[in-house]
Amino acid sequence: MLDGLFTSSNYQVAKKLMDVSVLKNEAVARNIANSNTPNYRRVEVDSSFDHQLKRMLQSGDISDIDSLTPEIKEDSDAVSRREDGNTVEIDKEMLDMNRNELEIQFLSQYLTGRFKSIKGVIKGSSSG
Amino acid sequence: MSMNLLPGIESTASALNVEKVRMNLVAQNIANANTTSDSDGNVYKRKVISFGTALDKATGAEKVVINSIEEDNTPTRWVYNPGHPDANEEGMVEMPNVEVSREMVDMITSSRSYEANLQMVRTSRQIAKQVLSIGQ
Repeated sequence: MLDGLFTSSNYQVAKKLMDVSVLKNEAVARNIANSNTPNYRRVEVDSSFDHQLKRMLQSGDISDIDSLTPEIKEDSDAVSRREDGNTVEIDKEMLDMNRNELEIQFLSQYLTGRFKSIKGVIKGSSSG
Repeated sequence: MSMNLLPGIESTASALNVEKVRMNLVAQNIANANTTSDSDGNVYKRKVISFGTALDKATGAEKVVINSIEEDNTPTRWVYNPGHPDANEEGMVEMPNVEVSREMVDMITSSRSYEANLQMVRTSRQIAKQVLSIGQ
């Protein structure tokens, strides 16, 4: 059951979440870079991705997970509280940045754990 | 297409550059807050930077770009100082339109923004390292 690693739902979801986290990092980088640009509107990863993924996980059928393509788009809900019309709130972006970093750390550790256990099986040792 | 291990780094790099230029202008303004006669013999005028966002077609990244660096045309100050070499017949000296307090505010805004972008570089780097260590 070696191929089970690459087809298991956890692995598939982790892979997708990793993609999204990297995209989120790019969105945060753009927002922080433009935190002083007049009339800049903050961007984010389209929240419809989260909803779709949640629905897939609840239904237990993730065979369509590759059809989910997260994208960066303008955050239309953001309201500017500043004179220059900029909608970036730097504290929020910094928190997002930190959360993202931890998310990626978590996902890569999870994946590493999976790989190690497979390696252990191949080598026949329990230490991996 | 070059390999991109650090997502969003183009935006961050452009912001660091713009903030650096902005900081230079603030330094120039503060340094010349009392310059009554520049190389052309005119009073120093405060320099202002204007920047915006532009899409970089090569990488698809949204970058911060400098639109222009211009002279601030708000009125200069006239100070009565008859002994001054640049004083006119009435003893008035034209002083630059630089307000040091405003420059200080710009300086702090700019340096905080620079720090935020540097933190972004560190985080992106950390993420790249983390991703490269998958399986190890």
